[in-house]
Amino acid sequence: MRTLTRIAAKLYPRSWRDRYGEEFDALLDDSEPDGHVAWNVLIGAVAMQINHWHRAVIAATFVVTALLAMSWWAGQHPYVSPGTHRVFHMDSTPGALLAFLVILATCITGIMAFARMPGAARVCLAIVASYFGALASVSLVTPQKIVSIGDSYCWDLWCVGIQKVNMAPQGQDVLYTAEVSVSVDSVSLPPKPEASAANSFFYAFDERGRRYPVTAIPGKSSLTFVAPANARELYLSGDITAPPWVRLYFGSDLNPFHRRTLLRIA
Amino acid sequence: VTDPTLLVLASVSNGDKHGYAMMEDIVRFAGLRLGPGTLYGAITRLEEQGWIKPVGAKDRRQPYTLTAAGRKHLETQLGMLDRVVKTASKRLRHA
Repeated sequence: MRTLTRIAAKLYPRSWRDRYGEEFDALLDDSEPDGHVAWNVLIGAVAMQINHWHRAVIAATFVVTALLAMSWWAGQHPYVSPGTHRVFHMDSTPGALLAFLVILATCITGIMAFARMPGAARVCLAIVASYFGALASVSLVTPQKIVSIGDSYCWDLWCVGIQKVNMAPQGQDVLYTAEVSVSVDSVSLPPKPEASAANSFFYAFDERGRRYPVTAIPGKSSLTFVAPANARELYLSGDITAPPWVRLYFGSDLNPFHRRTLLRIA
Repeated sequence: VTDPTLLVLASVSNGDKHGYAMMEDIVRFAGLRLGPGTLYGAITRLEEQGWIKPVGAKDRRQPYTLTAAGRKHLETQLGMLDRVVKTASKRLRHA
């Protein structure tokens, strides 16, 4: 028990131990070591650690906790579009401009740091840390967008919308056929989707994250897939390809902190 | 009275004491054994407030003494406790 008490005593903050460590150890030598004493020393060490935390650490803990709570709330309250033929956009244009300015500033300060200019490295790190902090924070508290049947979602020059969904029982499963409208730069594509391209781009998944491959119907703007009858919510998404830096944009669906926009199938 | 800071102030009010001596003294006059963590948490707070201060140590045991500000604080706290005790006793008698 004495060893446990000694270990607990070592958990006090270093500055505290520098000041009180010797006399505290003397007190522990004088005391009868038992479970109560060891526990009391451990609780004292934790309380003293909290007391010694720098205000910035306490503020950061508060901010992170608040952010996680807001993120959880945002995750519970997605925005569901009204399904009234509205068009939604992946609004990452301002994010792209901001990312460009940040990358430019990072490069300039990085070069200055490489040239050993005093303080440049710190500024460079501060820019990067602030940007990633803001990117994660804004993305985590932004609710997910769910595009209902009838509405469309656009990114870059592409727009995709689900117009209608038919369901047909197929044994234990359900065969879904979704009429999909695809346009590029506001020009509707003829109903001859490149089947292989559509098959590799789109995929469907349910509320449990189970993923289902989709198949384009040749000659029609329709996609089909089979999902179990117990799948309550089904969504369509796609493997958007873009340069890696697009992942750093605010509002980008490729941003790893951002909740990706989904097209509701059922 | 279970406030460790008040117990420590009361303990050093009649002379300088180191941690273990305070612990034993508090057991004698209050019937309460403070754990080492609780005792040194109180000592740390009291020293930060300037209510006790360390005095010359002969060995690893560090004695503490009550400062003038500490004495004033203790008197204020005891005055408040005295009022509470008198009021509660009076009310109990008339209940």
